[in-house]
Amino acid sequence: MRDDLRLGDAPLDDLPALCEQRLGVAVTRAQISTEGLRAASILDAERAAAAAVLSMDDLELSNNPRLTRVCLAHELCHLLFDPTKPGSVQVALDDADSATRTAKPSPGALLESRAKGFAAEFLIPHRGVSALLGGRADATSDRTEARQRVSLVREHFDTPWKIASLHLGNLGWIDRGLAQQMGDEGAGGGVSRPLSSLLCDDETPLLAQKLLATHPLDASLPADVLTRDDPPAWLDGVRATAAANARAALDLCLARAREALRAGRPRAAAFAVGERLDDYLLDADWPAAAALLDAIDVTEFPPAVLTAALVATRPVPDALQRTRTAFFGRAIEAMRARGALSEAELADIESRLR
Amino acid sequence: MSPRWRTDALTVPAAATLGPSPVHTHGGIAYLRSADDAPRHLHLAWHHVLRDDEALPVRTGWVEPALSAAALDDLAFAAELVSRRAENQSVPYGLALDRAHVDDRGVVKLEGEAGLTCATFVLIVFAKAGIPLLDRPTWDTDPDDARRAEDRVHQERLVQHLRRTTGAEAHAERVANEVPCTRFRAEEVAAATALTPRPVPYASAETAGRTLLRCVHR
Repeated sequence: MRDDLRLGDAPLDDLPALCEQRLGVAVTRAQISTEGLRAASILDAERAAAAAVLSMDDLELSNNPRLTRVCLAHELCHLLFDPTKPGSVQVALDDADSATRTAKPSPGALLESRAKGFAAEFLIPHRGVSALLGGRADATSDRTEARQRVSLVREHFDTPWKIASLHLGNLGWIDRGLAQQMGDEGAGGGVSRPLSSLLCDDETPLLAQKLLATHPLDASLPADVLTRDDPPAWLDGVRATAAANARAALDLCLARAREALRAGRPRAAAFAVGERLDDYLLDADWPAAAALLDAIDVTEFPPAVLTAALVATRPVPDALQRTRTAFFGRAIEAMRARGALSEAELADIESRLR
Repeated sequence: MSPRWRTDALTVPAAATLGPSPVHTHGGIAYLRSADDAPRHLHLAWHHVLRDDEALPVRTGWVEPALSAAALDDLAFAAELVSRRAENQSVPYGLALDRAHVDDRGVVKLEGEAGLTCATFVLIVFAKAGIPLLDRPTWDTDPDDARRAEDRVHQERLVQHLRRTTGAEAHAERVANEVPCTRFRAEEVAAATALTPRPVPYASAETAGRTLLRCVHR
């Protein structure tokens, strides 16, 4: 999306302005009577008008512009990528806990999980991190080094400590376990710059102000301003890029497994695949887990890799049931055809991991 | 067949461990890390102390497992999966085991139980690898009165230890409400890994567990 909007890898300066001026999404702060609701987004049935609403009662949000940036990016993802139903208005609601809560497996949780991931990558692009930190991601487990990296990234990209820490964990610059731990620790520190054009509480969004300036309320708004049947042309491109990135992550995982096999380390190959699946499951990213199971060539990998994939997906999440059952069948058949395991060993695998 | 307790270097991808502890015995899982075959010891040391150590504690050994090569690989993998989240999986201590498991997202899920013991933690990691070690209902029905009384005393001692653990005072009262309950001893869990067929009933595991105890306390 950064590529499509030609934003490069630099820190995003004025996110509300970006939402309003480049994407046509109205941004406003308002009093929300629903208790605990931090932000919401709404998209009309024709995909012609969209708005992100931030609560003006949320103290943390009011006091922390960095958090506001994350919320806006999060709502933007809902508006751009959540599945829509023709003829229906779409509303996404995000409460104050959703940023820290681990998503439970459900379609809604998947959308939340994706919005969190989008917000992190949109604000802290991996290429920008590489340029900032230099060298190669090495997943440091040294706490001092890790804190320095988080601090640098947080200041540069103007995000909260937690999101910087978690995202560096996801990008491989900090050990994931340590990143999660540090994310929970948090850190004090001020804000490097104000949120710029985000409006004062209850003010009319800039976009609406602009419309009203050219088309006062007593005049009818031209139809082409408020109706647009098709999503913007670049949206398909962004979706394709997202799919390509997901595929690249999957290919990288399989490449690592192959490399371990070439080095004569089947258990390391198994862990490379199983660890990736485990990550997807932790994030409740069932489609990604299913894609990985589908991508494993059962004739290429030894039993250790195939059974690791089965262990990682056990107990079987409902959303993965069909894909895993198919994978299980293919894996057993391939192991049998290879002849490396006895029937008793195959029966043992079947009874343990079906 | 008697289980073999060994204190030399681990020669299989994974195995149950057993050693002495101030309150009886302590068990975990020794495994070889996939990246470099470095030996690791994954164990629930105490309340909210899930550890993945570099070496086995003094006088702790591993039990030769009666598992297929594939099952051993899978067990090592399951242990490594759980261990990679060890820092974040804050597992409380508790006595009763009913439905706790590693869930479909790889998270240790207690399902309403107060927590796990070192032995029940081992059970659920084995279960993650698809290895049901114990015929658990026989622990409810087969132990005699003397054994039950012994277990109760032991469980009450553990509750006392919890009460003396900083920050665990309130949790200790919750665990106290679980006493008495079925107790799976660490030596029985470790012994079951060396026995077939599985799941192993109480009588077999108890006998083999006593054999292991003699080794540990020799």
